[in-house]
Amino acid sequence: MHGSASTREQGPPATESARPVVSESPPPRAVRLRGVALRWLRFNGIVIGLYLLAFVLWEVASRVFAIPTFILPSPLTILASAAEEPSVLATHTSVTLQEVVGGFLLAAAISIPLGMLLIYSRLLERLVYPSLVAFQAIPKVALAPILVVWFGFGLTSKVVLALVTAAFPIVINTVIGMGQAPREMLYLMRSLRASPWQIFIKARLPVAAPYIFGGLKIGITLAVVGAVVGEFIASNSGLGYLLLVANNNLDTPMLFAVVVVLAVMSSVLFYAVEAAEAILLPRPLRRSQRRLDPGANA
Amino acid sequence: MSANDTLVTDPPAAAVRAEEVSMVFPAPDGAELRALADVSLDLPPGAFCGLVGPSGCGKSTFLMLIAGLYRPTTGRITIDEEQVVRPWDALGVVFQRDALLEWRTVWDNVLLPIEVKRLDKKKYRDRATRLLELVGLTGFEGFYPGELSGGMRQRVAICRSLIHEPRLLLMDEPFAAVDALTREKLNFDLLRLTAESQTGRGTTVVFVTHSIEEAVLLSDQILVMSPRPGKILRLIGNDLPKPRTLATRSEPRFHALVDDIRSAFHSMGLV
Ligand SMILES: Nc1ncnc2c1ncn2[C@@H]1O[C@H](COP(=O)(O)OP(=O)(O)O)[C@@H](O)[C@H]1O
Ligand SMILES: [Mg+2]
Repeated sequence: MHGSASTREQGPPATESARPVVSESPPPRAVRLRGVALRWLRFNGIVIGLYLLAFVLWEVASRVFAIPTFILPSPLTILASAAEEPSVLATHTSVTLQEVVGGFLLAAAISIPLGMLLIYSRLLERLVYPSLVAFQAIPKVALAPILVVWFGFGLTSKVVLALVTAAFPIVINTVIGMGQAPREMLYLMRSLRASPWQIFIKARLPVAAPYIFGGLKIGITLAVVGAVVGEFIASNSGLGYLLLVANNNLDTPMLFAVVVVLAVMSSVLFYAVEAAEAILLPRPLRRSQRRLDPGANA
Repeated sequence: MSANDTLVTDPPAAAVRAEEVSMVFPAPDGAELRALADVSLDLPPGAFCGLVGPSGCGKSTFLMLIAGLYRPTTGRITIDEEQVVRPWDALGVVFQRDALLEWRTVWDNVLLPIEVKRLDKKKYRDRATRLLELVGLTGFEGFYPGELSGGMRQRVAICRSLIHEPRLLLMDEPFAAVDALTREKLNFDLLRLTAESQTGRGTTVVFVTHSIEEAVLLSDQILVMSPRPGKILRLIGNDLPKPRTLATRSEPRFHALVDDIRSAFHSMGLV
Protein backbone atom coordinates (compact mmCIF):
# COMPACT_ATOMS: atom_id res chain seq x y z
CA MET A 1 0.00 0.00 0.00
CA HIS A 2 1.49 3.28 -0.96
CA GLY A 3 1.07 6.74 0.46
CA SER A 4 -2.23 8.50 0.13
CA ALA A 5 -2.01 11.67 -1.88
CA SER A 6 1.40 11.08 -3.34
CA THR A 7 0.19 8.00 -5.16
CA ARG A 8 1.49 8.65 -8.61
CA GLU A 9 2.33 5.89 -11.00
CA GLN A 10 4.92 6.50 -13.62
CA GLY A 11 3.30 7.14 -16.93
CA PRO A 12 4.39 5.53 -20.16
CA PRO A 13 7.47 6.85 -21.93
CA ALA A 14 5.23 9.21 -23.86
CA THR A 15 4.56 11.12 -20.64
CA GLU A 16 7.91 12.82 -20.73
CA SER A 17 7.30 14.38 -24.10
CA ALA A 18 3.94 15.66 -22.94
CA ARG A 19 5.54 18.46 -20.98
CA PRO A 20 7.30 21.29 -22.75
CA VAL A 21 11.06 20.99 -22.47
CA VAL A 22 12.47 24.11 -20.89
CA SER A 23 16.09 24.18 -21.94
CA GLU A 24 18.40 21.88 -23.85
CA SER A 25 21.67 22.21 -21.92
CA PRO A 26 21.61 23.46 -18.35
CA PRO A 27 23.70 26.59 -17.70
CA PRO A 28 26.56 26.37 -15.18
CA ARG A 29 25.52 26.09 -11.55
CA ALA A 30 26.72 29.54 -10.50
CA VAL A 31 24.82 31.25 -13.27
CA ARG A 32 21.70 29.27 -12.45
CA LEU A 33 21.91 30.17 -8.76
CA ARG A 34 22.35 33.83 -9.57
CA GLY A 35 19.30 33.61 -11.80
CA VAL A 36 17.26 32.09 -8.99
CA ALA A 37 18.45 34.70 -6.52
CA LEU A 38 17.65 37.53 -8.91
CA ARG A 39 14.18 36.19 -9.59
CA TRP A 40 13.54 35.78 -5.87
CA LEU A 41 14.69 39.32 -5.24
CA ARG A 42 12.54 40.73 -8.02
CA PHE A 43 9.53 38.85 -6.65
CA ASN A 44 10.08 39.75 -2.99
CA GLY A 45 12.04 42.97 -3.37
CA ILE A 46 9.04 45.26 -2.89
CA VAL A 47 7.89 43.46 0.22
CA ILE A 48 11.33 43.46 1.80
CA GLY A 49 11.85 47.09 0.83
CA LEU A 50 8.57 48.20 2.38
CA TYR A 51 9.33 46.38 5.62
CA LEU A 52 12.76 47.96 5.80
CA LEU A 53 11.23 51.34 5.10
CA ALA A 54 8.75 50.87 7.94
CA PHE A 55 11.58 50.04 10.35
CA VAL A 56 13.59 53.04 9.22
CA LEU A 57 10.56 55.32 9.70
CA TRP A 58 9.98 53.83 13.15
CA GLU A 59 13.63 54.39 14.11
CA VAL A 60 13.60 57.95 12.78
CA ALA A 61 10.27 58.75 14.43
CA SER A 62 11.33 57.49 17.83
CA ARG A 63 14.45 59.67 17.63
CA VAL A 64 12.80 62.77 16.19
CA PHE A 65 9.88 62.71 18.61
CA ALA A 66 12.06 61.40 21.45
CA ILE A 67 9.58 58.68 22.36
CA PRO A 68 10.52 57.28 25.78
CA THR A 69 12.03 53.81 25.53
CA PHE A 70 9.75 52.40 28.25
CA ILE A 71 6.75 53.26 26.04
CA LEU A 72 8.00 52.33 22.60
CA PRO A 73 11.62 51.40 22.06
CA SER A 74 13.14 51.94 18.64
CA PRO A 75 14.04 48.95 16.47
CA LEU A 76 17.76 49.40 17.14
CA THR A 77 17.19 49.54 20.90
CA ILE A 78 15.21 46.30 20.70
CA LEU A 79 17.96 44.72 18.65
CA ALA A 80 20.60 45.88 21.12
CA SER A 81 18.59 44.49 24.00
CA ALA A 82 18.29 41.14 22.28
CA ALA A 83 22.01 41.12 21.49
CA GLU A 84 23.01 42.01 25.05
CA GLU A 85 22.57 38.49 26.35
CA PRO A 86 21.89 36.36 23.31
CA SER A 87 22.34 33.10 25.20
CA VAL A 88 19.50 33.96 27.61
CA LEU A 89 17.12 34.64 24.78
CA ALA A 90 18.32 31.52 22.96
CA THR A 91 17.85 29.27 25.99
CA HIS A 92 14.30 30.44 26.63
CA THR A 93 13.46 30.28 22.93
CA SER A 94 14.62 26.71 22.79
CA VAL A 95 12.41 25.79 25.77
CA THR A 96 9.33 27.35 24.19
CA LEU A 97 10.14 25.82 20.83
CA GLN A 98 10.26 22.37 22.39
CA GLU A 99 6.92 22.88 24.10
CA VAL A 100 5.32 24.18 20.92
CA VAL A 101 6.66 21.51 18.58
CA GLY A 102 5.97 18.73 21.08
CA GLY A 103 2.45 19.93 21.75
CA PHE A 104 1.74 20.45 18.08
CA LEU A 105 3.00 17.05 16.98
CA LEU A 106 0.98 15.34 19.70
CA ALA A 107 -2.07 17.40 18.74
CA ALA A 108 -1.69 16.34 15.11
CA ALA A 109 -1.10 12.72 16.04
CA ILE A 110 -4.29 12.66 18.12
CA SER A 111 -6.55 15.05 16.20
CA ILE A 112 -6.16 13.73 12.66
CA PRO A 113 -7.04 10.10 13.49
CA LEU A 114 -9.79 11.33 15.82
CA GLY A 115 -11.31 13.48 13.07
CA MET A 116 -11.23 10.49 10.73
CA LEU A 117 -12.85 8.20 13.29
CA LEU A 118 -15.63 10.72 13.85
CA ILE A 119 -16.54 10.46 10.17
CA TYR A 120 -16.81 6.71 10.28
CA SER A 121 -18.76 6.37 13.51
CA ARG A 122 -22.02 8.20 14.08
CA LEU A 123 -22.03 7.14 17.71
CA LEU A 124 -18.52 8.40 18.30
CA GLU A 125 -19.40 11.65 16.60
CA ARG A 126 -22.42 12.18 18.83
CA LEU A 127 -20.36 11.24 21.84
CA VAL A 128 -17.18 13.18 21.23
CA TYR A 129 -18.14 16.16 19.09
CA PRO A 130 -20.24 18.04 21.66
CA SER A 131 -17.64 17.63 24.39
CA LEU A 132 -15.00 18.75 21.95
CA VAL A 133 -16.94 21.91 21.26
CA ALA A 134 -17.62 22.49 24.95
CA PHE A 135 -13.94 21.98 25.69
CA GLN A 136 -12.96 24.49 23.05
CA ALA A 137 -15.29 27.05 24.63
CA ILE A 138 -13.20 27.01 27.82
CA PRO A 139 -10.52 29.70 27.82
CA LYS A 140 -7.30 27.74 27.89
CA VAL A 141 -5.87 30.03 30.61
CA ALA A 142 -8.43 28.53 32.93
CA LEU A 143 -6.94 25.09 32.33
CA ALA A 144 -3.36 26.07 33.00
CA PRO A 145 -3.49 25.84 36.82
CA ILE A 146 -5.11 22.41 36.64
CA LEU A 147 -2.53 21.20 34.16
CA VAL A 148 0.25 22.42 36.42
CA VAL A 149 -1.26 20.43 39.28
CA TRP A 150 -1.48 17.36 37.07
CA PHE A 151 1.74 17.60 35.08
CA GLY A 152 3.97 19.74 37.25
CA PHE A 153 5.87 22.96 36.86
CA GLY A 154 8.10 21.83 34.00
CA LEU A 155 7.89 21.20 30.29
CA THR A 156 5.05 18.67 30.30
CA SER A 157 2.27 20.97 31.47
CA LYS A 158 3.12 23.44 28.66
CA VAL A 159 3.29 20.70 26.07
CA VAL A 160 -0.18 19.58 27.15
CA LEU A 161 -1.51 23.13 27.07
CA ALA A 162 -0.07 23.63 23.58
CA LEU A 163 -1.67 20.33 22.61
CA VAL A 164 -5.17 21.17 23.81
CA THR A 165 -4.99 24.64 22.29
CA ALA A 166 -3.89 23.36 18.89
CA ALA A 167 -6.11 20.28 18.70
CA PHE A 168 -9.51 21.81 18.00
CA PRO A 169 -8.95 23.33 14.54
CA ILE A 170 -7.13 20.19 13.44
CA VAL A 171 -10.01 17.91 14.46
CA ILE A 172 -12.64 20.19 12.96
CA ASN A 173 -10.80 20.60 9.67
CA THR A 174 -10.15 16.88 9.43
CA VAL A 175 -13.85 16.20 9.94
CA ILE A 176 -14.79 18.78 7.31
CA GLY A 177 -12.18 17.51 4.88
CA MET A 178 -13.16 13.88 5.28
CA GLY A 179 -16.69 14.74 4.23
CA GLN A 180 -15.66 16.59 1.08
CA ALA A 181 -15.28 13.71 -1.38
CA PRO A 182 -18.06 14.20 -3.95
CA ARG A 183 -20.79 11.58 -4.06
CA GLU A 184 -19.94 10.55 -7.63
CA MET A 185 -16.37 9.86 -6.61
CA LEU A 186 -17.50 7.55 -3.84
CA TYR A 187 -19.99 5.83 -6.14
CA LEU A 188 -17.27 5.38 -8.71
CA MET A 189 -15.00 3.75 -6.14
CA ARG A 190 -17.80 1.50 -4.99
CA SER A 191 -18.68 0.57 -8.57
CA LEU A 192 -15.11 -0.73 -8.83
CA ARG A 193 -15.70 -2.74 -5.65
CA ALA A 194 -13.16 -0.70 -3.75
CA SER A 195 -12.76 -1.73 -0.13
CA PRO A 196 -13.48 0.82 2.61
CA TRP A 197 -9.73 1.13 3.08
CA GLN A 198 -9.19 1.80 -0.63
CA ILE A 199 -11.95 4.40 -0.62
CA PHE A 200 -10.32 6.03 2.36
CA ILE A 201 -6.78 6.04 1.03
CA LYS A 202 -7.52 6.75 -2.65
CA ALA A 203 -10.44 9.17 -2.41
CA ARG A 204 -11.34 10.52 1.02
CA LEU A 205 -7.86 11.21 2.33
CA PRO A 206 -6.49 13.05 -0.73
CA VAL A 207 -9.62 15.21 -0.83
CA ALA A 208 -9.26 15.90 2.89
CA ALA A 209 -5.52 16.60 2.81
CA PRO A 210 -5.69 20.34 2.00
CA TYR A 211 -8.30 20.82 4.74
CA ILE A 212 -6.18 18.92 7.24
CA PHE A 213 -3.21 21.11 6.37
CA GLY A 214 -5.43 24.15 6.87
CA GLY A 215 -6.15 22.88 10.38
CA LEU A 216 -2.47 22.21 11.00
CA LYS A 217 -1.55 25.74 9.97
CA ILE A 218 -4.03 27.24 12.42
CA GLY A 219 -2.98 24.66 15.00
CA ILE A 220 0.73 25.47 14.92
CA THR A 221 0.15 29.15 15.64
CA LEU A 222 -2.27 28.28 18.45
CA ALA A 223 0.30 25.90 19.91
CA VAL A 224 2.61 28.90 20.39
CA VAL A 225 -0.18 30.74 22.20
CA GLY A 226 -0.85 27.70 24.39
CA ALA A 227 2.78 27.25 25.37
CA VAL A 228 3.29 30.93 26.22
CA VAL A 229 0.07 31.05 28.26
CA GLY A 230 1.30 28.03 30.19
CA GLU A 231 4.62 29.73 30.86
CA PHE A 232 2.80 32.81 32.03
CA ILE A 233 0.90 30.86 34.65
CA ALA A 234 3.68 28.80 36.12
CA SER A 235 7.22 28.26 34.97
CA ASN A 236 10.82 29.26 35.39
CA SER A 237 11.83 29.18 31.75
CA GLY A 238 10.56 29.87 28.27
CA LEU A 239 9.71 33.05 26.39
CA GLY A 240 6.48 33.55 28.37
CA TYR A 241 8.50 33.48 31.57
CA LEU A 242 11.06 35.88 30.10
CA LEU A 243 8.20 38.17 29.16
CA LEU A 244 7.01 38.24 32.77
CA VAL A 245 10.51 38.93 34.05
CA ALA A 246 11.02 41.76 31.55
CA ASN A 247 7.66 43.16 32.55
CA ASN A 248 8.56 43.11 36.25
CA ASN A 249 11.83 44.88 35.50
CA LEU A 250 10.05 47.43 33.29
CA ASP A 251 12.51 46.33 30.60
CA THR A 252 10.41 47.35 27.62
CA PRO A 253 13.10 46.72 24.99
CA MET A 254 13.46 43.15 26.25
CA LEU A 255 9.68 42.76 26.20
CA PHE A 256 9.67 43.80 22.59
CA ALA A 257 12.61 41.56 21.78
CA VAL A 258 10.70 38.56 23.17
CA VAL A 259 7.58 39.51 21.23
CA VAL A 260 9.64 39.71 18.04
CA VAL A 261 11.21 36.32 18.70
CA LEU A 262 7.74 34.83 19.29
CA ALA A 263 6.45 36.32 16.08
CA VAL A 264 9.41 35.04 14.11
CA MET A 265 9.10 31.59 15.69
CA SER A 266 5.38 31.35 14.90
CA SER A 267 5.97 32.43 11.33
CA VAL A 268 8.81 30.01 10.78
CA LEU A 269 6.72 27.15 12.16
CA PHE A 270 3.74 28.18 10.05
CA TYR A 271 5.80 28.20 6.88
CA ALA A 272 7.37 24.90 7.88
CA VAL A 273 3.89 23.36 7.87
CA GLU A 274 3.23 24.99 4.53
CA ALA A 275 6.49 23.57 3.17
CA ALA A 276 5.48 20.12 4.38
CA GLU A 277 2.21 20.58 2.52
CA ALA A 278 4.04 21.52 -0.65
CA ILE A 279 6.27 18.47 -0.36
CA LEU A 280 3.58 15.96 0.56
CA LEU A 281 0.71 17.01 -1.68
CA PRO A 282 0.68 16.72 -5.46
CA ARG A 283 0.40 19.99 -7.32
CA PRO A 284 -3.40 20.16 -7.83
CA LEU A 285 -4.04 19.86 -4.10
CA ARG A 286 -1.69 22.61 -3.02
CA ARG A 287 -2.92 25.87 -1.60
CA SER A 288 -1.39 28.07 -4.28
CA GLN A 289 -3.18 26.07 -6.95
CA ARG A 290 -6.57 27.07 -5.63
CA ARG A 291 -6.27 30.78 -6.04
CA LEU A 292 -9.15 32.81 -7.31
CA ASP A 293 -7.47 33.95 -10.50
CA PRO A 294 -6.11 30.97 -12.38
CA GLY A 295 -3.88 33.10 -14.56
CA ALA A 296 -1.77 34.12 -11.61
CA ASN A 297 0.21 30.91 -11.29
CA ALA A 298 1.21 30.54 -14.89
CA MET B 1 -9.77 -24.23 -34.77
CA SER B 2 -8.80 -20.80 -35.98
CA ALA B 3 -7.11 -18.16 -33.88
CA ASN B 4 -10.37 -16.28 -33.66
CA ASP B 5 -11.99 -19.00 -31.64
CA THR B 6 -9.80 -18.12 -28.67
CA LEU B 7 -11.81 -14.91 -28.34
CA VAL B 8 -14.97 -16.89 -27.82
CA THR B 9 -13.56 -18.52 -24.70
CA ASP B 10 -13.52 -15.12 -23.03
CA PRO B 11 -16.62 -14.46 -20.96
CA PRO B 12 -19.20 -12.81 -23.17
CA ALA B 13 -20.90 -9.50 -22.54
CA ALA B 14 -23.37 -9.27 -19.72
CA ALA B 15 -27.04 -10.17 -20.07
CA VAL B 16 -29.06 -7.73 -17.99
CA ARG B 17 -32.57 -8.42 -16.76
CA ALA B 18 -34.82 -6.27 -14.66
CA GLU B 19 -37.91 -7.93 -13.23
CA GLU B 20 -40.66 -5.54 -12.13
CA VAL B 21 -38.21 -3.27 -10.42
CA SER B 22 -39.60 -0.46 -8.29
CA MET B 23 -37.74 2.14 -6.32
CA VAL B 24 -39.23 4.28 -3.59
CA PHE B 25 -37.25 7.04 -1.91
CA PRO B 26 -38.22 8.72 1.33
CA ALA B 27 -39.25 12.27 0.46
CA PRO B 28 -38.23 15.19 2.68
CA ASP B 29 -41.82 15.71 3.88
CA GLY B 30 -41.94 12.17 5.23
CA ALA B 31 -43.97 10.94 2.30
CA GLU B 32 -42.70 8.45 -0.22
CA LEU B 33 -41.32 9.31 -3.60
CA ARG B 34 -41.85 6.66 -6.20
CA ALA B 35 -39.01 6.96 -8.68
CA LEU B 36 -39.47 3.74 -10.65
CA ALA B 37 -42.57 1.63 -11.05
CA ASP B 38 -42.42 -1.98 -12.20
CA VAL B 39 -39.68 -1.65 -14.75
CA SER B 40 -38.92 -4.83 -16.62
CA LEU B 41 -36.21 -5.20 -19.20
CA ASP B 42 -34.30 -7.92 -20.93
CA LEU B 43 -31.04 -6.90 -22.52
CA PRO B 44 -29.15 -9.50 -24.56
CA PRO B 45 -25.37 -9.63 -24.25
CA GLY B 46 -23.64 -7.00 -26.34
CA ALA B 47 -26.68 -4.76 -26.74
CA PHE B 48 -26.19 -1.01 -26.84
CA CYS B 49 -29.26 0.29 -25.11
CA GLY B 50 -30.20 3.96 -25.17
CA LEU B 51 -32.39 5.13 -22.33
CA VAL B 52 -34.35 8.31 -22.95
CA GLY B 53 -36.96 9.95 -20.80
CA PRO B 54 -37.94 13.25 -19.28
CA SER B 55 -35.81 14.69 -16.54
CA GLY B 56 -36.54 13.20 -13.12
CA CYS B 57 -38.20 10.07 -14.48
CA GLY B 58 -35.75 7.76 -12.76
CA LYS B 59 -33.12 7.08 -15.43
CA SER B 60 -30.20 7.63 -13.09
CA THR B 61 -31.94 5.63 -10.41
CA PHE B 62 -32.34 2.73 -12.81
CA LEU B 63 -28.68 2.88 -13.70
CA MET B 64 -27.68 2.96 -10.04
CA LEU B 65 -29.82 -0.12 -9.49
CA ILE B 66 -28.14 -2.01 -12.33
CA ALA B 67 -24.79 -0.87 -10.98
CA GLY B 68 -25.62 -2.41 -7.64
CA LEU B 69 -25.17 0.94 -5.92
CA TYR B 70 -28.85 1.11 -4.90
CA ARG B 71 -31.08 -1.75 -3.85
CA PRO B 72 -34.54 -1.91 -5.44
CA THR B 73 -37.52 -1.53 -3.15
CA THR B 74 -39.23 -4.41 -4.93
CA GLY B 75 -38.35 -6.59 -7.88
CA ARG B 76 -34.92 -7.74 -8.83
CA ILE B 77 -32.14 -7.16 -11.29
CA THR B 78 -29.93 -9.92 -12.58
CA ILE B 79 -26.74 -9.88 -14.57
CA ASP B 80 -25.99 -13.18 -16.26
CA GLU B 81 -28.84 -14.73 -14.27
CA GLU B 82 -27.28 -13.70 -10.99
CA GLN B 83 -29.08 -11.26 -8.74
CA VAL B 84 -27.32 -7.95 -8.30
CA VAL B 85 -26.63 -7.30 -4.64
CA ARG B 86 -23.43 -5.31 -5.05
CA PRO B 87 -21.52 -3.86 -8.00
CA TRP B 88 -20.75 -6.49 -10.56
CA ASP B 89 -17.11 -7.30 -11.10
CA ALA B 90 -16.73 -6.49 -14.80
CA LEU B 91 -18.60 -3.21 -14.57
CA GLY B 92 -17.70 0.18 -15.97
CA VAL B 93 -19.57 3.34 -15.00
CA VAL B 94 -19.46 6.87 -16.38
CA PHE B 95 -21.34 9.52 -14.44
CA GLN B 96 -22.67 12.81 -15.68
CA ARG B 97 -19.97 14.56 -13.67
CA ASP B 98 -16.68 13.00 -14.61
CA ALA B 99 -15.59 12.18 -11.04
CA LEU B 100 -11.94 12.35 -12.01
CA LEU B 101 -9.46 12.37 -9.14
CA GLU B 102 -7.90 15.82 -9.44
CA TRP B 103 -4.62 14.81 -7.79
CA ARG B 104 -3.95 12.03 -10.24
CA THR B 105 -2.64 12.53 -13.72
CA VAL B 106 -4.69 11.47 -16.73
CA TRP B 107 -2.65 8.29 -16.87
CA ASP B 108 -3.20 7.44 -13.21
CA ASN B 109 -6.89 8.22 -13.48
CA VAL B 110 -7.28 5.83 -16.38
CA LEU B 111 -5.45 3.09 -14.49
CA LEU B 112 -7.44 3.57 -11.29
CA PRO B 113 -9.73 0.54 -11.87
CA ILE B 114 -6.68 -1.68 -12.39
CA GLU B 115 -5.23 -0.42 -9.14
CA VAL B 116 -8.44 -0.86 -7.18
CA LYS B 117 -8.99 -4.32 -8.56
CA ARG B 118 -5.34 -5.19 -7.85
CA LEU B 119 -4.72 -6.31 -11.42
CA ASP B 120 -1.30 -6.27 -12.98
CA LYS B 121 -0.76 -2.71 -14.19
CA LYS B 122 1.92 -3.71 -16.66
CA LYS B 123 -0.60 -5.76 -18.59
CA TYR B 124 -2.90 -2.78 -19.03
CA ARG B 125 -0.37 -0.15 -20.05
CA ASP B 126 -0.80 -0.83 -23.75
CA ARG B 127 -4.55 -0.78 -23.42
CA ALA B 128 -4.42 2.56 -21.60
CA THR B 129 -2.19 4.00 -24.29
CA ARG B 130 -4.51 2.67 -26.97
CA LEU B 131 -7.69 3.98 -25.33
CA LEU B 132 -6.19 7.43 -24.87
CA GLU B 133 -5.05 7.37 -28.47
CA LEU B 134 -8.57 6.47 -29.66
CA VAL B 135 -10.02 9.54 -27.96
CA GLY B 136 -7.19 11.80 -29.09
CA LEU B 137 -5.53 12.28 -25.73
CA THR B 138 -2.08 11.02 -26.65
CA GLY B 139 0.45 13.38 -25.11
CA PHE B 140 -1.80 14.35 -22.23
CA GLU B 141 -0.93 11.36 -20.02
CA GLY B 142 1.01 13.51 -17.57
CA PHE B 143 -1.59 16.27 -17.31
CA TYR B 144 -3.79 16.77 -14.30
CA PRO B 145 -7.57 16.90 -14.87
CA GLY B 146 -7.54 20.56 -13.85
CA GLU B 147 -5.46 21.25 -16.92
CA LEU B 148 -8.02 19.75 -19.35
CA SER B 149 -11.22 21.00 -20.95
CA GLY B 150 -14.59 19.56 -20.00
CA GLY B 151 -14.75 17.38 -23.09
CA MET B 152 -11.23 16.06 -22.53
CA ARG B 153 -12.06 15.24 -18.93
CA GLN B 154 -15.11 13.28 -19.96
CA ARG B 155 -12.99 11.35 -22.45
CA VAL B 156 -10.58 10.45 -19.66
CA ALA B 157 -13.55 9.23 -17.62
CA ILE B 158 -14.65 7.08 -20.55
CA CYS B 159 -11.19 5.59 -20.96
CA ARG B 160 -11.18 4.87 -17.24
CA SER B 161 -14.52 3.09 -17.51
CA LEU B 162 -13.16 0.84 -20.26
CA ILE B 163 -9.65 0.06 -19.06
CA HIS B 164 -10.53 -3.12 -17.18
CA GLU B 165 -12.44 -4.56 -20.15
CA PRO B 166 -15.86 -4.27 -18.56
CA ARG B 167 -18.59 -6.50 -19.93
CA LEU B 168 -21.23 -4.07 -18.81
CA LEU B 169 -20.88 -0.34 -19.30
CA LEU B 170 -23.32 2.08 -17.67
CA MET B 171 -23.24 5.68 -18.81
CA ASP B 172 -25.38 8.37 -17.20
CA GLU B 173 -25.70 11.34 -19.54
CA PRO B 174 -21.96 11.31 -20.01
CA PHE B 175 -21.97 14.13 -22.53
CA ALA B 176 -24.58 16.39 -20.99
CA ALA B 177 -22.01 18.87 -19.77
CA VAL B 178 -20.03 19.32 -22.99
CA ASP B 179 -20.74 21.58 -25.91
CA ALA B 180 -22.59 20.36 -29.00
CA LEU B 181 -19.54 20.01 -31.24
CA THR B 182 -17.52 18.11 -28.68
CA ARG B 183 -20.54 15.99 -27.98
CA GLU B 184 -20.74 14.93 -31.59
CA LYS B 185 -17.07 14.01 -31.56
CA LEU B 186 -17.48 12.09 -28.32
CA ASN B 187 -20.40 10.15 -29.78
CA PHE B 188 -18.22 8.81 -32.53
CA ASP B 189 -15.37 8.22 -30.08
CA LEU B 190 -17.71 6.09 -28.05
CA LEU B 191 -18.88 4.10 -31.06
CA ARG B 192 -15.28 3.43 -31.97
CA LEU B 193 -14.36 2.48 -28.41
CA THR B 194 -17.20 0.06 -27.90
CA ALA B 195 -16.71 -1.44 -31.34
CA GLU B 196 -13.09 -1.95 -30.40
CA SER B 197 -14.05 -3.55 -27.11
CA GLN B 198 -16.40 -5.87 -28.89
CA THR B 199 -13.57 -7.41 -30.85
CA GLY B 200 -12.51 -8.68 -27.44
CA ARG B 201 -15.06 -9.78 -24.90
CA GLY B 202 -17.94 -7.62 -25.97
CA THR B 203 -19.70 -5.08 -23.85
CA THR B 204 -23.33 -4.50 -23.04
CA VAL B 205 -23.97 -0.78 -22.78
CA VAL B 206 -26.79 1.13 -21.10
CA PHE B 207 -26.55 4.73 -22.13
CA VAL B 208 -28.76 7.37 -20.53
CA THR B 209 -29.31 10.54 -22.50
CA HIS B 210 -31.90 13.20 -22.93
CA SER B 211 -30.91 13.66 -26.53
CA ILE B 212 -33.10 11.57 -28.83
CA GLU B 213 -30.65 12.00 -31.71
CA GLU B 214 -27.81 10.74 -29.58
CA ALA B 215 -29.80 7.69 -28.54
CA VAL B 216 -30.71 6.87 -32.13
CA LEU B 217 -27.17 7.36 -33.37
CA LEU B 218 -25.59 5.12 -30.75
CA SER B 219 -27.94 2.35 -29.76
CA ASP B 220 -29.43 -0.92 -30.99
CA GLN B 221 -32.37 -0.59 -28.65
CA ILE B 222 -34.03 2.51 -27.37
CA LEU B 223 -36.00 2.52 -24.16
CA VAL B 224 -38.43 5.36 -23.79
CA MET B 225 -39.40 6.05 -20.20
CA SER B 226 -42.49 7.81 -18.88
CA PRO B 227 -42.43 10.68 -16.39
CA ARG B 228 -42.13 9.76 -12.73
CA PRO B 229 -42.74 7.17 -11.55
CA GLY B 230 -40.66 5.90 -14.44
CA LYS B 231 -42.07 3.08 -16.48
CA ILE B 232 -40.82 1.74 -19.74
CA LEU B 233 -43.15 3.20 -22.26
CA ARG B 234 -41.70 1.79 -25.42
CA LEU B 235 -38.87 -0.39 -26.55
CA ILE B 236 -37.74 0.54 -30.02
CA GLY B 237 -35.39 -1.65 -32.01
CA ASN B 238 -32.90 0.41 -33.96
CA ASP B 239 -31.98 -1.33 -37.20
CA LEU B 240 -29.81 1.44 -38.60
CA PRO B 241 -26.83 -0.18 -40.30
CA LYS B 242 -23.46 -0.31 -38.57
CA PRO B 243 -20.93 1.10 -38.37
CA ARG B 244 -22.73 4.35 -37.73
CA THR B 245 -21.00 7.34 -39.22
CA LEU B 246 -21.65 10.97 -39.86
CA ALA B 247 -23.67 9.83 -42.89
CA THR B 248 -26.02 7.90 -40.63
CA ARG B 249 -27.50 11.14 -39.45
CA SER B 250 -28.67 12.08 -42.92
CA GLU B 251 -30.44 8.79 -43.60
CA PRO B 252 -34.21 8.96 -43.79
CA ARG B 253 -34.46 6.00 -41.42
CA PHE B 254 -32.52 7.99 -38.79
CA HIS B 255 -35.05 10.80 -38.93
CA ALA B 256 -37.97 8.40 -38.96
CA LEU B 257 -36.72 6.89 -35.71
CA VAL B 258 -36.10 10.27 -34.13
CA ASP B 259 -39.60 11.39 -35.11
CA ASP B 260 -41.05 8.18 -33.79
CA ILE B 261 -39.50 8.72 -30.36
CA ARG B 262 -40.34 12.38 -30.36
CA SER B 263 -43.98 11.56 -30.97
CA ALA B 264 -43.85 9.15 -28.05
CA PHE B 265 -42.78 12.08 -25.89
CA HIS B 266 -45.49 14.12 -27.52
CA SER B 267 -48.11 11.62 -26.46
CA MET B 268 -46.91 12.09 -22.87
CA GLY B 269 -47.50 15.79 -23.32
CA LEU B 270 -43.83 16.55 -22.88
CA VAL B 271 -42.79 18.26 -26.08
N1 LIG C 1 -30.80 9.32 -3.52
C1 LIG C 1 -32.04 9.81 -3.65
N2 LIG C 1 -32.77 10.11 -2.57
C2 LIG C 1 -34.03 10.58 -2.70
N3 LIG C 1 -34.64 10.80 -3.87
C3 LIG C 1 -33.96 10.53 -4.99
C4 LIG C 1 -32.62 10.02 -4.95
N4 LIG C 1 -32.19 9.83 -6.22
C5 LIG C 1 -33.20 10.21 -7.01
N5 LIG C 1 -34.26 10.62 -6.29
C6 LIG C 1 -35.55 11.08 -6.82
O1 LIG C 1 -35.98 10.13 -7.76
C7 LIG C 1 -36.49 10.76 -8.91
C8 LIG C 1 -35.77 10.27 -10.14
O2 LIG C 1 -34.46 10.78 -10.10
P1 LIG C 1 -33.36 10.40 -11.20
O3 LIG C 1 -33.26 8.94 -11.27
O4 LIG C 1 -32.11 11.14 -10.85
O5 LIG C 1 -34.01 10.99 -12.52
P2 LIG C 1 -33.34 11.21 -13.97
O6 LIG C 1 -31.97 10.67 -13.94
O7 LIG C 1 -34.24 10.50 -14.91
O8 LIG C 1 -33.38 12.68 -14.23
C9 LIG C 1 -36.37 12.25 -8.70
O9 LIG C 1 -37.63 12.77 -8.34
C10 LIG C 1 -35.40 12.38 -7.56
O10 LIG C 1 -35.73 13.47 -6.75
MG1 LIG D 1 -30.13 11.67 -14.15
